[in-house]
Amino acid sequence: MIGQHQIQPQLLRPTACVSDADLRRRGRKRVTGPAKKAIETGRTRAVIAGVVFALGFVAVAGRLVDLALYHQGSEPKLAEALAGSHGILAPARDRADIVDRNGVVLATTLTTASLYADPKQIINADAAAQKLAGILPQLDIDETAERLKADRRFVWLQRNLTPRQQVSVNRLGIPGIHFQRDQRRVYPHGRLASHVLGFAGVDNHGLAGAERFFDSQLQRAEGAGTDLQLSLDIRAQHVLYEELSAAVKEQKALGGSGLIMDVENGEVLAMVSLPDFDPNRANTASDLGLFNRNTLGVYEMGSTFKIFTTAMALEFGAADLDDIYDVARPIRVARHTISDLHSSGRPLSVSDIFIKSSNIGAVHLAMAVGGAAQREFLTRLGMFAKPALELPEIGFPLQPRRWREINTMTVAFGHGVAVSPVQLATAVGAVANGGTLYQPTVLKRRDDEPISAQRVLSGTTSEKMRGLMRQVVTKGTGRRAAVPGYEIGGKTGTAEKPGRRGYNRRKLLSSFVGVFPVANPRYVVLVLIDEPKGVGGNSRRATGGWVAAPVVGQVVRRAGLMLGVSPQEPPEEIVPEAVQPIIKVSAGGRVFAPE
Amino acid sequence: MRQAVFWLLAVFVAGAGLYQLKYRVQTEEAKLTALNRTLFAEQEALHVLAAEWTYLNRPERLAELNRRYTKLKPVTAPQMAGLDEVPLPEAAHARLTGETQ
Repeated sequence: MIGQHQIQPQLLRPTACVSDADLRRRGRKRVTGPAKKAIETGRTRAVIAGVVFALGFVAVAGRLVDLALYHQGSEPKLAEALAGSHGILAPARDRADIVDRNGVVLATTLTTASLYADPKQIINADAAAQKLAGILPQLDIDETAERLKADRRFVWLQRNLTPRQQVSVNRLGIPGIHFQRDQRRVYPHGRLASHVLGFAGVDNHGLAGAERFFDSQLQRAEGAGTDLQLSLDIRAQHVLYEELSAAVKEQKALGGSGLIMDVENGEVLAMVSLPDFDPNRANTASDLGLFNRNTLGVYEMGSTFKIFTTAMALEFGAADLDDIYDVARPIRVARHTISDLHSSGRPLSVSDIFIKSSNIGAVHLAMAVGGAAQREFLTRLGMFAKPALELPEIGFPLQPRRWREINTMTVAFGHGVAVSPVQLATAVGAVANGGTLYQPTVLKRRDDEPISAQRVLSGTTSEKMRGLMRQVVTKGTGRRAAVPGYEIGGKTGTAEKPGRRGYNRRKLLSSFVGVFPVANPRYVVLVLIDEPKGVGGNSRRATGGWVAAPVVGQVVRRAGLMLGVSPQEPPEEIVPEAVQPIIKVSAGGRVFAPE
Repeated sequence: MRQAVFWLLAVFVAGAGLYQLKYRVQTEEAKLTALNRTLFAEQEALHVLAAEWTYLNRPERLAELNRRYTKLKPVTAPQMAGLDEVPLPEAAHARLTGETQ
């Protein structure tokens, strides 16, 4: 077409020139008078017409040059848009993938086919429904037949078919049955990391967990290399999940939670909360299953708080490891009495107070420091602020409105203040790692990333605390956490859950927080079991030392190598069982130990 | 006159050439679109396969397969040793650790 346009001016111009020249030559010689005037008029008209045509052709030529040289025209533009940024067509995905720290896919978006029908084209609705139901078990035959007879041009039959189902349906060759491209969020690991990942709804919007917190980032992402990389290690997650669920099942407990955190940067390597849910079927999840105990739940932690009480006393110089306290007599304050489960009847050193988990001793230590300093110290450890974890489900810690003497006393052994497990693990990590508090994160930190760190404790205190935590496992309440190959240090905790009428001695929250390897800690492992029934159904064996410590031990034994910790010499011999105190506060607010 | 014939010919040749070129480009573009479509399908298939691979490699499933088909047990910490604990000839040791003595 362009060629034809080009040809025309070339053809016209010579013809016009010839006639024009002829006119001029002849006109001068022969024509005069009115005839000449008429010719002049004709000539002027011809010139005007010529100029107009010439301008038109110049415009066409100009446009041609413009198209050929400067613009790529409409078709190449389209191809470029298709080609994507790398010159290759990338499948358009609504949402970026989520991967673990090793690049294992945790959440991805798959293109699926959704099945719909045009009832006008269906010849035999009943037969078609019968055939389809054979491939798609979720379809109800009668209902489908009803839909296929509807007086419409479009009815959905089923969303998000598997590729195999799609092929089978296609093979049926029923006219009037069509596929529509659709996208679906898929979590290949199912329940394994459900609370960290959360889930996305049918419209591909994040509704919980990281899916929700990073929703805009996940939706903005285009092309490859924009995966969201979490700090989770799916292998460690699996180990923790297995061990925790086994313990919860055996203990017939209400639930449990566990987490593994890197003490050197706050990365969460594993985080399990039971009961849980399957993010692939999030619409069927119960409220209890959706609840993330590690971040949203706040609990009175019990004796694990003695880590902070003891560290505080050492840090502020209120006591040293060898100082002796009289713990024989219960402490009475106002209407409350604080005592130990098994009173040793003799004075204990600060070390023994920690190792044997004496409530009376912890109260003495806290009183030696004072309430104001205690509150300030716990604030420094992040106990009263929302942790900066990148999940939408974060619980706000609870503390007494007015910090009285009784609060100083109960907080010393972990009652009267409720914090989330992730807060506890973060603070224990800081106590163990030399005294630096790192904010917890579910994102894998880049090597060059500056980590916000806060010094909360001296290295000397941290070293003493590591020694104490080690002794808890070698000869104290946490003996059952000991495993060959790794030296674990830690602290048990057994808190009574507050009920409608004071604390309930039958309903315990048993926990163990461990760090390993204790000499140079790399990871903190925290396990909480909610209302364990006790080892062998014996309710006296439902304490943190009995039910939670072994879980931490097993997790370390199985996950230690995965987490890249070199094993050490076998641990020293295990000494016989020690006492595990239980706190009890009766309806009147009295605190005393059970028989 | 000669000049006019020359230009006329030139115009025909150029026109025919352009026509040819245009159709060639159209053919190539059709090929490109087809290739892109194939690539698209392949990438999507890859994506599905990657998801399936992850699904089949769930730690839970691997543990079950291991239990059923092999007699392997998880490596335990006491089984691990540093390179310096392995009795090797000194030369081999130096080569492996990159140390020169």
